Amino acid sequence: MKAQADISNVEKRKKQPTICTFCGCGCAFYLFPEGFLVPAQNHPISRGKLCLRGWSYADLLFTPNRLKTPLVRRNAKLEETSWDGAIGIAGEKLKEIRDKYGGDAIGVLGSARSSVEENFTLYQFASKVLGTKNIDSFYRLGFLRSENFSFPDLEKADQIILLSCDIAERHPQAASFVIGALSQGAFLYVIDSRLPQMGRLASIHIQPPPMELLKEAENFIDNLEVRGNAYLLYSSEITLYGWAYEVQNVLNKAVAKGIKPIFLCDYANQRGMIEVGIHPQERLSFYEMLEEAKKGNLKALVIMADNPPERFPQLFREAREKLEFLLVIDPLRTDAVELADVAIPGTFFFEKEGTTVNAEGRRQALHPTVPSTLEKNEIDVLLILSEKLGSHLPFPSAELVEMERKEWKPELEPVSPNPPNPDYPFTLLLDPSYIWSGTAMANATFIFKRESSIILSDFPDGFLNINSEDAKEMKLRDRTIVKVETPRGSISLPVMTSLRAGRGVLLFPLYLWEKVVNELGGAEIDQSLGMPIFKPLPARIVKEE
Amino acid sequence: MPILAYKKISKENLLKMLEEIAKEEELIAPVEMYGGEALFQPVKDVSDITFNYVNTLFPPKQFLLPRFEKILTYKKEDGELKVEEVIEAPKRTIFGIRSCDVEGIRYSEYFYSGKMFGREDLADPHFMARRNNLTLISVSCQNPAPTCFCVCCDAGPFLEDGFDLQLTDLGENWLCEVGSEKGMALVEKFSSLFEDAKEEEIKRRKELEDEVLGKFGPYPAFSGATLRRVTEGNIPRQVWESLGERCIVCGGWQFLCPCCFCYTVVDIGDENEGYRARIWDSCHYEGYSRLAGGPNPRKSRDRRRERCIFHKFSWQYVERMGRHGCVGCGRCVITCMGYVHMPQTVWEIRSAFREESYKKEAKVK
Repeated sequence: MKAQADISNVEKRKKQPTICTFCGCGCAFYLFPEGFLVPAQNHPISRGKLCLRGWSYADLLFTPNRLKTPLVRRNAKLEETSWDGAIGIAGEKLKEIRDKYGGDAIGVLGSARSSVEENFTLYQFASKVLGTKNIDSFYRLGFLRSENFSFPDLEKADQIILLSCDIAERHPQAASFVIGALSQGAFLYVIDSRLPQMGRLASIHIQPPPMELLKEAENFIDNLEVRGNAYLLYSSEITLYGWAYEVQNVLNKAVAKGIKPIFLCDYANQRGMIEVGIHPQERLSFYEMLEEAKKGNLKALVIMADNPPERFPQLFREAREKLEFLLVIDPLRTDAVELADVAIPGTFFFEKEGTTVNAEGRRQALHPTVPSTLEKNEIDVLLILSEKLGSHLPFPSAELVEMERKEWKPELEPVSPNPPNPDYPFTLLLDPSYIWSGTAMANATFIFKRESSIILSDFPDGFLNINSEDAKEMKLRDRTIVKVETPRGSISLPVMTSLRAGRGVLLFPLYLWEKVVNELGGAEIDQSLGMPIFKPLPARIVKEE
Repeated sequence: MPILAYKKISKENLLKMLEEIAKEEELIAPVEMYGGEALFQPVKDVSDITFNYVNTLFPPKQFLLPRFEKILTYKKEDGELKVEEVIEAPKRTIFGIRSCDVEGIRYSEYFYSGKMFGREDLADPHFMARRNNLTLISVSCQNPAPTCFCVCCDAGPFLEDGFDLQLTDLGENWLCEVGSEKGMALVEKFSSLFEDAKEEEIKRRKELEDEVLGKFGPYPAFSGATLRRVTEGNIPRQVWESLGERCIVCGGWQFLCPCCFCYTVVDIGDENEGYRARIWDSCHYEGYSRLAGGPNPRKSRDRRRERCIFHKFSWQYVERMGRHGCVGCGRCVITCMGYVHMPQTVWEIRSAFREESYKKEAKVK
């Protein structure tokens, strides 16, 4: 690194890249205020390539969903107010609740859309100022701790195993590295109950029933002759299906044979967020916070750039009714902002200094390439808030953040699978492929919003993905309404036939998780990870007359 | 238009000229970014200009067709809706543009000027206002990048027309070919900086052109056979399916392509006040050809890709646009996430009739 004085004027004027806020790949691009966006060509991850989400990122500059001024709820309506006014009200309210009920009556939600420093300040604010241990984030859904790796190495791989992950949909840059490796002669093995896009490119695609997936994966790795660099990629499906404990056997076998396991994070700064302490601290996890609020035990919620109603709209609304105070800090006017008592605007990755950590564990610097026009940023707001609550917080310097790192090492516990039931021949699975559909980030763009909402407008109340062959046998066609029955309940859904679902597998998209779970049951909390999971569920379908 | 005059200009004088231009209008030139990439950017200080680039990752097309462009504003006043057209067309000079991008601009102009349909009254006012205010000072290529294949697409490395001035590096001097009246006016304005080129210098330019032809890399895209096969429509379905399987639908190819100019419009604002903007769009996206109510004639990835290649290579478009829709800049080779860029597509279409390629397909599946 050059000394500051050596940098000539030309050097200083050089445009800095910024990092994408969508998935965990961590691509870099140059963003210009006029809405022009160029992928960084000499960046090890983006290499001049971006996915649809990355290309749409510049739309955030012009989005009508931007929260520009602080809002305060007066007479059940959100009204614009000054920064000092909003922070003042928030400070008073939080102080009142803290003094009346104690710190643990307040819940705090961090975000993978915020930088490491902001999450760090939020953690300090929660633990030292509010005195609560209820700190977590909805962006932790599906996260599993993993080792560091390097995406560029993936391109030099000789063998790649994809264990139940649809990288083409959710981690397109990772898929690009895998296709790059394929074009250089690598072998691809896909072990998945579905037929994802990469399954069509695989040398071997094993499509076991969901319940036997991990057993098949173990068998496959036992029999695999490992040559050269081998990698095993897995992602949040494993955690969501309640296999976090069982998958360790597969991973251990893989490591013993020299295969490097890689976990792909779903969200941009998920790892950075968790390493500064945004994970369950012996207290309530994110899902439990809403449940406790619903029971009236949690009195206030402080949310930074998180949007729980994306996945749990009904639960959040019910919890909101019981909350005495809801503070939301977010760059976007999300559903959570609409329900807030006080909402304060936040900043995007391209507007601030800071760091972010991607799926690899790569620490990347953020630069204000399009400087923020807001009066205050998140860190300012949190520091002023803590002054109002009578404490002083230090500015989050890099050394301080490094010093206070809190590794999250949950002790995994086995989750008993749902027993097979001969009366229910199908297995119902959650398909996280449409993970961005309907989210605040997707809705803030133009092109990506259009693309991701096709599925929502085609099937506003959800759909059931069923194998074409199964559908033929049962005489089902696209959009036929069927009744899905599980031992716990039933729901009517239109059918979408495709080869994506394997034989005997029913897929429903993650974005309507809550709706399906409420009707069919099947969701529970994995206590060791502190997150809701959806175990593969035996089901049957009945054609509605 | 034939070359109007051959001039030469020394390297210092060129910078002097650019400095003068930058004072009067917006000068666009390649500028080095933090990561070392060169990009076309508005330049105030000529010391920012980099000459150390082969081709920028983006063609300078955002200065003609911005990625996000406000095209009209509306406002309700006393119950009446007032709509105003917004045309932003500052006087601009692009310096350092390569031959492929000059051809790309010409191709887009054919569409936006309405020449494609023989209806110049249908011209797009936004694009044409900017095009008419634009001067192109192109620099011919002497060291093509490994990804370049303009020589297969009749778009470089040297051009015969389309530019206002074409510069060729002759060591101490730049040879300057004047290709238009606009270029001639520029030379006359700065006549003290220019000299007449000598006969041997003009000869040297021809020699350089021949030398460059030998330097092209491993990505030939012989479009002739593709053009014929796409026009005849007898490409086996497996070819498109195989290409579609590797496509990640990023749309990057269309954003970077000098010949792509599709857009969509969005309205931003409420019922009282707001504006309409147009933003770049890509035919590879599912929502691009989706109709109201849900039906989609090009639902699968391979159908969308087939349509894209059809537009680029089918004779009916070649006839109307004056050329096929690829200038061989090689940017898709860099940006394609699935490695199914133009040279790869052309190669797969060309080899689709060989028996071995079918066998290879069978093995992949």
